[in-house]
Amino acid sequence: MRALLLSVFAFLTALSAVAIWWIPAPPRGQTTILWASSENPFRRAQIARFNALHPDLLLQLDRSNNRFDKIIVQTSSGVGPDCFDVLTSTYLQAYVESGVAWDLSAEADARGILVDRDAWPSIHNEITYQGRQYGYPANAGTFLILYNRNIFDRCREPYPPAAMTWEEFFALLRRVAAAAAGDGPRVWGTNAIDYSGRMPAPFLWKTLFYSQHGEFFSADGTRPTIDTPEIRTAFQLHHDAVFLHRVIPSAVEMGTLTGQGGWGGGALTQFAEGRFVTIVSGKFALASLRGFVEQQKSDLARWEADPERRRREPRPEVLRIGVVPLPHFPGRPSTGVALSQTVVINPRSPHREAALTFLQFLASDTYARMVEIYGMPGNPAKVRYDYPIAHAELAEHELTRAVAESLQHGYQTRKSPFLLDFDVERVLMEQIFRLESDPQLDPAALVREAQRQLDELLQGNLARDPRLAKLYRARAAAEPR
Amino acid sequence: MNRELKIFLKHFCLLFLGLSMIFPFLWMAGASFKPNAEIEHLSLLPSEAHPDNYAIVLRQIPDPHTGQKLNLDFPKWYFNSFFVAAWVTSLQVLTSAMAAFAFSRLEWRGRDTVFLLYLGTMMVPSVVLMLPNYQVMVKLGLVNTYRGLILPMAFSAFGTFLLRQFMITLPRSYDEAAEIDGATPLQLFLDVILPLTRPGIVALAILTFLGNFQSFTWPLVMVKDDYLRTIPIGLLSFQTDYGQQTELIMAATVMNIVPLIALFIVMQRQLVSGIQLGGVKG
Amino acid sequence: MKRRQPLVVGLFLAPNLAGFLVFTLVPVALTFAGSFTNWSLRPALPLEFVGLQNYSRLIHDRSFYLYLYNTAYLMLALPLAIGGALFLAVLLHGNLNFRHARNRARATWASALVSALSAAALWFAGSENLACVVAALGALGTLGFALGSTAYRTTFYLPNFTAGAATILLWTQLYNPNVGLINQGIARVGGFFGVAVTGPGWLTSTRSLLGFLPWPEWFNNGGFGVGAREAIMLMGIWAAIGGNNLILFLAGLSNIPPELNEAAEIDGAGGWQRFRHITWPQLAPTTFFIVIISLIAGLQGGFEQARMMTNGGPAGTTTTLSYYIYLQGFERLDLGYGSAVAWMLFLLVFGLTALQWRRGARDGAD
Repeated sequence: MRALLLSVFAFLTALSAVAIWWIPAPPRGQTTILWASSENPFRRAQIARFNALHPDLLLQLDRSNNRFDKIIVQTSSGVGPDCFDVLTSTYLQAYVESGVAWDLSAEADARGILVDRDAWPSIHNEITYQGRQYGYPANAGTFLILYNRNIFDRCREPYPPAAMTWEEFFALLRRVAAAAAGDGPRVWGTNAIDYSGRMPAPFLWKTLFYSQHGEFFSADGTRPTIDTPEIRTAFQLHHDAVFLHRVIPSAVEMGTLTGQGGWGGGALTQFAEGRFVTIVSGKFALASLRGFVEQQKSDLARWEADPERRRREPRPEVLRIGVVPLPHFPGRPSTGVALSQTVVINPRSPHREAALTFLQFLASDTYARMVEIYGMPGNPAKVRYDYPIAHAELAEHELTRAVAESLQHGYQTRKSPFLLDFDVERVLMEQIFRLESDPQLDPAALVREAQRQLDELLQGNLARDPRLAKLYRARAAAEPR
Repeated sequence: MNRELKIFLKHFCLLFLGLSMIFPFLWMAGASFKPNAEIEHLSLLPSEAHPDNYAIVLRQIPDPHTGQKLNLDFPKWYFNSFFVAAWVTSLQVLTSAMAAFAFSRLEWRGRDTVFLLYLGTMMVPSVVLMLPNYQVMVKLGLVNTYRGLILPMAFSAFGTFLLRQFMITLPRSYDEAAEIDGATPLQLFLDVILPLTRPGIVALAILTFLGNFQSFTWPLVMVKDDYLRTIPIGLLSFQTDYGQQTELIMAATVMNIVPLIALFIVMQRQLVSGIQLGGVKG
Repeated sequence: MKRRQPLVVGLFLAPNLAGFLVFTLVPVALTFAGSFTNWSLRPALPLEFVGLQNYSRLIHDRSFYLYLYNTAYLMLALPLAIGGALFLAVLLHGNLNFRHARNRARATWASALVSALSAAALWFAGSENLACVVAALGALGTLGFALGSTAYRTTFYLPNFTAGAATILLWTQLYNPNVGLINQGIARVGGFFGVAVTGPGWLTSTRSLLGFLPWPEWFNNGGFGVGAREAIMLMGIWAAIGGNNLILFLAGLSNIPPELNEAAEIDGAGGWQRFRHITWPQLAPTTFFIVIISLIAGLQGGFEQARMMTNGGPAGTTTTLSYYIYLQGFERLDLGYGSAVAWMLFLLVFGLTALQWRRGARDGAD
């Protein structure tokens, strides 16, 4: 037994020696900036470019995939990355409220990264909160309808028009999906499911809600405005799309392997394979679709080179997409939510100055050129439509123009200091999941239930925080009812 | 009933249960050879074997999506997972066995009360402990170090409780015989009790090693630098904002667990032969 | 020796206790203190002592009771998970070898040949997936007959290796109400008997097997049926019977002196009698350990599943207390309340454990 113990610990000591030997030497004379973001096909080139431009700085990636709990635990304990990505204003609000996002309003102008002047107006709320600036957009985007041209051609249907109402859109999807499926496996009309969370979530209702320029709060933020025509309509049409038109699968039906890792991924693969006629997506789809089209093209080349296969199999298709703006409601313009990937600085980082330099890089022409391949620069003045096209099938320039157009009409919902968007999202999500689980449930009743729960949560917040209650009373008194 | 037939029937039942257990592994192994487009299909086999996934993970060939080799270091992740799990397991088994000895073979006042307190700490949900625990690590300066990955996991009430349960079954006569021989408590512990507790120790070692090799939540917050990544944290590299490369995750996972299965086969044999060897020695 | 006892106890406890104090007791004490404050992730909110406010809020929080019910409901799977593991452990610990080496060789070769031939036949008939399954079954059988229990133990432990994302993703796929393998299988079996059967909604459904329980109207009990909670329980049982509990039971069985069984066999005791009078009492400390640990894990359970499979839904039916604590602490930034829920949970587990402890002491487990 003694011999065993000794040999185990001797082995561990040897392992430790290996581990210590394997630790890379710390960079000499350089300030390291740790950026918590996710790997993407273009990230490495961007980092290499920044490091080449700034020999005194060393930008490194912490591939943590923007896990909220990780950033919160690390940063609120005083360590944590120097800067990190924030996706959507819902998270920005939570980070700001938890004190882990640095208010850089004072520095922004001098550094040339003032979003009020530079960025698309529709994404300002993705970067600012209660009038203060907390970061700089690494890219911007909106949602559009991408459609599979091959399916429309095969069914001899005209491509979707640039402007159509939601009713027309659903009718079109019903027709094309039925024709595309024929006697074969089912083809769905559209895929509007949000894969950015921990699991797939219904997204169509949100698209419908934003399409009416809906708001979750009254102008002064004192009342959640949930039981309103906008949300009732969105819930009802969502219900119809799932149970009446049957053009969209429910999120749980889609809750397959696509669960993790951001918008797109598996959903885009299914779209590219022809299992969906259209998909509600954005320009970021290019990041995944390029690789997919590349593989389809090489498969086509193999088919052409192989007479045996040519006799046996039909010619493999290469995805060709088209793009139209989101449908609209009668008498209203097409609109939707605008998004950005915002880089925010850790207020307790010792390298805040260096991180600001990185934000300046995000605002530069160099970076804008690099990001345009799969996204939109945060500054409309930096959008150029002349980058080299890699895949004409993917309507690359058409997409860029369409996104730029809809960024003009896009918006961000307002926030309330009295109730986090997290709560609004969770409560509504729970009701929409209920809606999808049972066709008998009345959408209007679910909306009423959500309103009730959120009122209760807001009152609870006021009861716990006297300063919040004071602000609430002041705002409520100012509002003429 | 015929004895041989009975044994045959036992095998028969075990086989079908075993099939349900093996299914996820088969599917995963199959998926690791699929191209990305087929990952979602339930079919076990790819339409055309695609062993490139392994080569991409091991950086032998570039990732077709980007035309570049992946920016990762699978062998280092593997080393880190092994290194951390080996340290945690050794420390945990040793300290747990010592504490369990004190809680079962030694007589002292308040022993069971202290033990219940020990157990009590396991009952506080770990979700709320995460932040305070992390703040303690910050105070100690252990964030982003190997020690920060190893030390908090190395002392557990779980192991102490488990080994105590094994130690209390041993007859008192061993202790008395040792005392008559003039053995010190340390000798009693090392030469009598530890060998007799072998099945418990092996079980604890298996659970601790595998649990820590694959643990996710703690390393996720502890690790900042790339060189400290363990396998579960490394696998995050295959998830991007633009979708996840499930086929690469599957290939990496298969490479991750095949050696672990081999290790398990070796370890679990110790589980069976424990008492016979212990009996001879004790 | 007796005189030096305190020193000896101290020395044996010291290594574990030192680590335990720093890495466990300090954080535990911090959350305990935190549960009496308005501890929040919001730095704008100054830390204040609020007395029992969090606890009184908890008593009036109906979500707490619903999630407590969910947690308890999922724990109904525990007896099956523990019992199944015990059954398997006894089976695997017992003799799996044929008395005659000839029979063993015969069985091994027969299973290898039959499965290889039928797999080949299926393969060429075009059902490649079925061929894979048959080949796997054959390989397992061959190994099982040749190696005995090692082959099965490793197989049963496999779900623990593939744990985490891969298993969860696969189960979500299997549970898909329309295209999932489980419902397809149910439909096919129904079709065989000429009945059109629609499988349950699994993760999409709020139904439960106890759905008929009378409950206030705010509780979405969804009615009688099989729903998300059953889906999670089934998955839990599947992972648990061959997992850590099996290992622990096997270790416990190894610890039983074989002479006891041999003596009983000579006295003519049957299998059940030997289990009842030798195995079961001798295994009591291990069983006790597993029961306590399962209780603790069960009351804190359901977190990963809620986070990765269901988001706590549909309609909150799979939100357990540990997921609720996470939501309160990290999404609503209210750590004080999260800690209060955690400590309420602690009281429950501690009470149940103490109860078990006294029973265990009476049964001689202690």
